[in-house]
Amino acid sequence: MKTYKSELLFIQKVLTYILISIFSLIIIGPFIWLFCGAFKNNEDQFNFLFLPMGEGFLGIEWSRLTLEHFRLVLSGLNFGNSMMNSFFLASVISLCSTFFSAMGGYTLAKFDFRGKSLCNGIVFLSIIIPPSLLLAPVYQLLYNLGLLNSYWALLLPSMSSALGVYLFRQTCINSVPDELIYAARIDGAGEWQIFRHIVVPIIRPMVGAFLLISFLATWNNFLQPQLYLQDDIKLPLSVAISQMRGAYSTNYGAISAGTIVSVAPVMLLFLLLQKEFITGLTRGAIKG
Amino acid sequence: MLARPSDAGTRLREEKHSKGVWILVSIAAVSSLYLLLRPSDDAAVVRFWTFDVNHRNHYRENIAQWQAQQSFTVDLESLEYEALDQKLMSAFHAGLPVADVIEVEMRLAHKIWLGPVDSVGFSDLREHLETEGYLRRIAKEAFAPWSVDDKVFGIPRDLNPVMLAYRADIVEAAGIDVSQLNTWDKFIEAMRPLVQDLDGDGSIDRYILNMPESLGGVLSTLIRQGGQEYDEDNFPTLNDARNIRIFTTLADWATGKDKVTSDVTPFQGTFFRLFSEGHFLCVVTPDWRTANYEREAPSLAGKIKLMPLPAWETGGRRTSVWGGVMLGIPKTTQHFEEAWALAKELYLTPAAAEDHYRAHNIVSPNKEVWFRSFYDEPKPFFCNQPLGRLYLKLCDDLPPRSPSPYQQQMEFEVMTSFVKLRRIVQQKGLETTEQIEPYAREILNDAQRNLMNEISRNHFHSVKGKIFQK
Amino acid sequence: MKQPFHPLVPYGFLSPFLIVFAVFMAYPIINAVYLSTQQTFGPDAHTFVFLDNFKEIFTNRLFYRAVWNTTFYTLGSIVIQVPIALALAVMLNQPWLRGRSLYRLIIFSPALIGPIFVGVIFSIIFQKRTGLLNKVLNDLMGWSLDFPWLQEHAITSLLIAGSWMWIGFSTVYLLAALQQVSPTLMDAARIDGAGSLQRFRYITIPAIRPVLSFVLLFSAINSLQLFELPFILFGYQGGAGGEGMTVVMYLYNSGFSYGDLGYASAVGWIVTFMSLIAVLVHRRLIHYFES
Repeated sequence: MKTYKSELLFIQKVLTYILISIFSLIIIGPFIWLFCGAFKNNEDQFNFLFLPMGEGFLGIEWSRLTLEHFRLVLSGLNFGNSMMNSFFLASVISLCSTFFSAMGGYTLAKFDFRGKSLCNGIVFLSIIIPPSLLLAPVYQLLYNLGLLNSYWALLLPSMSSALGVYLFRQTCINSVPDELIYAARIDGAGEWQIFRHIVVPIIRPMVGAFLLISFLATWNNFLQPQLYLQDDIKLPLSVAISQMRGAYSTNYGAISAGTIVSVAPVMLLFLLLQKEFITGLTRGAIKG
Repeated sequence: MLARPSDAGTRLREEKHSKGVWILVSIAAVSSLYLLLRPSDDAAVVRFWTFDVNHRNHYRENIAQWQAQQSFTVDLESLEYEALDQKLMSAFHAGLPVADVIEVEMRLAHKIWLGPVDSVGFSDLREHLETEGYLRRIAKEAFAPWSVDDKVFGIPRDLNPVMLAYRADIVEAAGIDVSQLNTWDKFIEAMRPLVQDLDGDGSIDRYILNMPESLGGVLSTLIRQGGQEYDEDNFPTLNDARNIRIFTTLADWATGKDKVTSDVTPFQGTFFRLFSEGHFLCVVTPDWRTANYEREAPSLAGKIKLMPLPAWETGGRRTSVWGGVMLGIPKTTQHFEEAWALAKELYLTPAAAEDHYRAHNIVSPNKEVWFRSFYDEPKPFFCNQPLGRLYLKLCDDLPPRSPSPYQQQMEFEVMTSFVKLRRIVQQKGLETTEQIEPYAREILNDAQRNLMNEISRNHFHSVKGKIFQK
Repeated sequence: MKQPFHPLVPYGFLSPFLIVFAVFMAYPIINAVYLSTQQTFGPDAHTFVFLDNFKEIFTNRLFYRAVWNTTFYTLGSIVIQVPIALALAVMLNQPWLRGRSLYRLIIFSPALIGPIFVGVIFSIIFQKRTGLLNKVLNDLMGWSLDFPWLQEHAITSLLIAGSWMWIGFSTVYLLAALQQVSPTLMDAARIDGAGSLQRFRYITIPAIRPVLSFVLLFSAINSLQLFELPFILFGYQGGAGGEGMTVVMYLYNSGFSYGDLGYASAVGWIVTFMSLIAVLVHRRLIHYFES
């Protein structure tokens, strides 16, 4: 009986490992393919599924690999410039949006004031309204304000996020004790100081998570920059890559290299902030 | 995953802020600095946009030589097709900055005539073209796609006659003499033995003709050849009896055990690969497309020849027209004279005509250069055929190109209708053209209704009491 | 307890959010009502057409195609993604599993790269004859190299690419929820002789229900906004017959490709309506399962 059970457990373990590994392989396969494609010359692109086989180390013909695609993407197509644009937009928007959203969320969680329930309603409304409803009227608004083709068109509407306010509100309700705030008030701390020195440190994991969420969202945003920006020099990577795909539709190597260049920075950032991200992200949803 | 309270306490003292904040603040600082210090566009006087990288590479040298004699500089940029589309639309709609000279392709330009004629963002060039004599010298057909209500919004680059490119090596090895095959029926029948399963795995790997379904271009080109897309007032006539017959035949080719067409999207790497492998033998090819073969499929050198399209009926038209490019000068330009001079230099001089031919195999609409000998030079890539001459011979018989702003919808309806028809034929297992034709009629009637509905919905035209005219 | 704060403080703290809301949300929403009664050509030229836009929308076959595609994609992605994500999360939650964070990182990684980049990658993967998918399937099981993913199976392709991208996202959420399930409760149930399926049904599922419900709603709302993937894979017209057309693509085309912002606003209202239906259906379901 006992051996039967332990055998069962063993089989279950093996099966689990196999299934998870297969699934991981499916997930990672396209990445590997993309990576190989970026280093293959265009002739080998169709001849070999992954890297060109040959006499070299590990059975791979290393001499047939090329850095040409990366050279084209980074110098010829000015992806370096687009990357800076993406960095600028994503970092500024994520910092501002996290800051203002945290302030809003904290207020809705810990203050009683007239119109509070109205404000809560506004937050929910903003989350539910699909962004596509706003595309046309916001475009017209930005036109009327003369903000088209300027970064303000992207920065201003993203200064604060309803989802952020909601997540911070939940976090504050769950993890900031009222007593701490009352005690600080009695000690004569100003409201700004309380927020800055007491609340922010407590909700730190959520701050990290939301920074990353909004960074990712801005980095990967395509529609708004595509619609609002005109000058090539201002375009972020998401728009640049879609244009490059059209212009270099026959050059799969260059497309692969361009994609890798565009995706690598967010991957790196995620690796750096992984822990905070997953804690903050999931905690907000679980307790909320 | 959750830190224990004491844990959190010590960490709290060590780092009050998320690591992310510091990383992002530094990224923001560096990138802002970069944006601030980035040199802004210096005032090159005339800015020129084209939709094609290859065009840019070719113009770059010409412009470099030319501007050395001018008092201003030219800034040349190539934009991706959809990007240019997007930019032009927002520029003309919302007054965003735009170049001084713009090279655009037909489908894109036509959307611009969709609104009120006065709001078209390009300048009317008729007067300039007339006084300088170009209206006479250039083939009339070349202006048609760019003319609305007596206004001419662009300088035409081309006539874009169409021929059939075929794998001469394979076809001739099979002992087929294409010069006798003057109708599509004869042509397909003669070629049919070449449809083969080469590696014996049970699936066909060689077809006669590539007919991409995900792109209206080839289908529309074949319809234009023997049918009619628009009437004289530029209203669609998609359900014309001839169109229905052509559609029926095409659907017959694309289905059943005797399927003879492949469906490979052109303009992608896969296409050139499969053309080289002989996955399909023939491709409907306008003059501008031949240069793509030379560039993207060098291994085909000496293996391809061109022939006039087989006709739909005996004695019928042996060519068609596909595509079209113009140079336009936006109304907002501050430098009209310079832009006009540049446009003439790039499109209208005899040297420009020769240049377009040498760089892209495109024959000029300027009738005065048609006798030039460079069109007769043999092209080694195409088995020493005199490409230019072959295309020019067909230029007297071109079907019309329409300026209809609904050209994109037209192509969309054509490809949608075709896919629909092909599926019905497959599902019902229809074999003969008689069986297919009623379905083709029904589908095209439907498509025609869609188009007319779309047109009648446009208040900007009906308010003015007229729809676009020639 | 009395709260001795200055009465203007909360308004001050909330003002950035409220200002952004008023300018970029409230005003545009009101304007969207007005715009949906106009035919425009860009933001300047416009004429009043009253309800014509809606009339046209409801008779346009391409629009129905788009609605059908979007609905099918939404339901399909929920049906595919949520069970797989749950299974993965359960496997990753096994206490004896080594390399959990590595697996989690791998499975989550596609969610980091935006739909545009995923679209670019899959546009090469789905190629006939040369694409990764057909080549691998051909090697493994003799699948036809000519299988027309993008040409004939638009929504299936979208579901594959979409699932590849989003499964990891749901998995991470569900995994975090599973990790919160009280181990003592589990042990107690085990001692009482509950089998693993029973434990899953009566302890795990109720415990993770809020997160499960969040994941469901999120997938639904997210799928309704599908735009970038098909935009890249099929082009802005959604391929032949609009096989890959979604409602938001339809909106984009009418508003920004053809310049009719009025029509686009009208479509926007319909998207809003569809999202509301999704929310209501979701609420009903939650209610049904809880009682």
